[in-house]
Amino acid sequence: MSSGGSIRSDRTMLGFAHGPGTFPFLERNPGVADFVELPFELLRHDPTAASIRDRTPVILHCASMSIAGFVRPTQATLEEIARRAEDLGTPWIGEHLAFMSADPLPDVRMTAALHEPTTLTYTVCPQLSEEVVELVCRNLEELQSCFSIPLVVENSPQYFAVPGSTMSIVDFVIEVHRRTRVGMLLDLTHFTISSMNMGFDPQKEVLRLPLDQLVEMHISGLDLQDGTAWDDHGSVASEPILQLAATVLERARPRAVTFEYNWAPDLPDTVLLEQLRRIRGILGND
Amino acid sequence: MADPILLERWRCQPASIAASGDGCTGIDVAKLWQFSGLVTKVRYSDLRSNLPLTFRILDATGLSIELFATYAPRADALRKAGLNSKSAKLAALMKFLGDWLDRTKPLHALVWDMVRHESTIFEVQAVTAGVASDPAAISIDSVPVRSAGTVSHELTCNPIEVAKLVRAGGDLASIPREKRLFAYCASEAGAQIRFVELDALAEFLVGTADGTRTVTELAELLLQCGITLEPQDLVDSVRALVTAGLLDIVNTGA
Repeated sequence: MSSGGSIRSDRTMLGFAHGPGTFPFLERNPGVADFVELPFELLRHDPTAASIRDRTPVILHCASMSIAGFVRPTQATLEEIARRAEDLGTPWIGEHLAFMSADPLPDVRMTAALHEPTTLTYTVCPQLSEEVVELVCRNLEELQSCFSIPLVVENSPQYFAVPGSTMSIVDFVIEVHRRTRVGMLLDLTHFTISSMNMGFDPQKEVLRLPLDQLVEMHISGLDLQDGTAWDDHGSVASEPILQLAATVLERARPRAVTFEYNWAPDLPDTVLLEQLRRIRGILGND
Repeated sequence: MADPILLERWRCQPASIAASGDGCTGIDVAKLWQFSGLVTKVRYSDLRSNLPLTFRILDATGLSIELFATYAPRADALRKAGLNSKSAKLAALMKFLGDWLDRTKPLHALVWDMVRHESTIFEVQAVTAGVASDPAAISIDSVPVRSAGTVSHELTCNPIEVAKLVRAGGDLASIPREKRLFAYCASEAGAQIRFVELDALAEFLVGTADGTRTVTELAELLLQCGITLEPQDLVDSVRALVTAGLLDIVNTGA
């Protein structure tokens, strides 16, 4: 992985989410990854991060479109995403099946309404209902029209029951993909977290997903605290998550698998290489 | 999520949820509060480069979500005040941890040890080491002073042993716990720092060498504490600490 370029391969590519430890690891272990997944929000904060395009192929990942929300991203945001996607040569744009922005927050202490939309700075699992499925379908159609590059959407982790929900998160994801035919970014850790917190069998439920629409998979760690499973990009995927990967990869071949170990810069190389070896072994890419 | 103070009020006074008129009744506020802990933890990921062991121990002990959920209102206030630098976040988190951790609990004490150890390394790395005094020139009339940027901590463990164990995925309960004294100072080799375990005499010297007392006067101070040590013998200890970079000698112009 010594130079940039685009991702044009028939085999499943393996890559890492961008973080403080990513390039040091890739420089110590040349050739182990095919791409780096770069967050749009980092580019916004630090446009010089785009220079990684000169070193490696890039997949653009977003958390700014609030696909499952009622507040549309600004036109400037959409134009910037489109421009960045074109410049980086990303094969698709990943986005969360979640909301990030919300209507202005009434200030209950001042009994007055604020006027700016609320920005949560973190993606939140939406209400799982027919109303929100329809909203997501409308949003996706409108958002996709802003880009020449396809969107793929990533399942959220569910940490608690969202009031007003009428369906499971699995049914919600299935419905969105069935109605829109949008590409699937299956985050196996999010899926596992949802299964642990909401009480379903991930090995069984994952087979209900429309895996023919699978484009990319995310793999990371999870953290169990006080009976709740939480997303954790600072630890590596546990055995159940790797077994879930095997189940999915027996039935579908995504174009990319991304290891999201971007919170912690200190994961030992041996641990990361072992994770790569496991997935390569399942894919038959040894 | 966007208003941690309101969320905290909802958690403490569930009846206030309905009064807010937001249609939020039915939401699991305790879980939402924990989720705000995850979000705050993620927002502080930039500190992981400097506090890798602290974060790992917080996760391994199951403390991180509760800690960051409790800290969320302060983090929000800091963010809204524009204090987003790594050093501002670290200082605020340290202050919070100092109050929040119950150091009578061994695992809380371990977190407090490691966050002080790692944050001190971060702080001392920013200090430029001065020109070292010549150890050979030290006499009983020399006036030692703690080197600029030297920090000492009393810990309940050896952080080097903790680092090895955490990276090996070992059991935190198996870490030997006893009073240990460590000092940290800048080295002349740039970003490197010196990290030295102190014995009781070295602790005394690092703690009292304020640039006003000669070695002889420090020996007299020891005598007042019931410890008899000839000034010439103390010279050797001062020399070792000067060599380690923890003490300098004040140039008296004599």
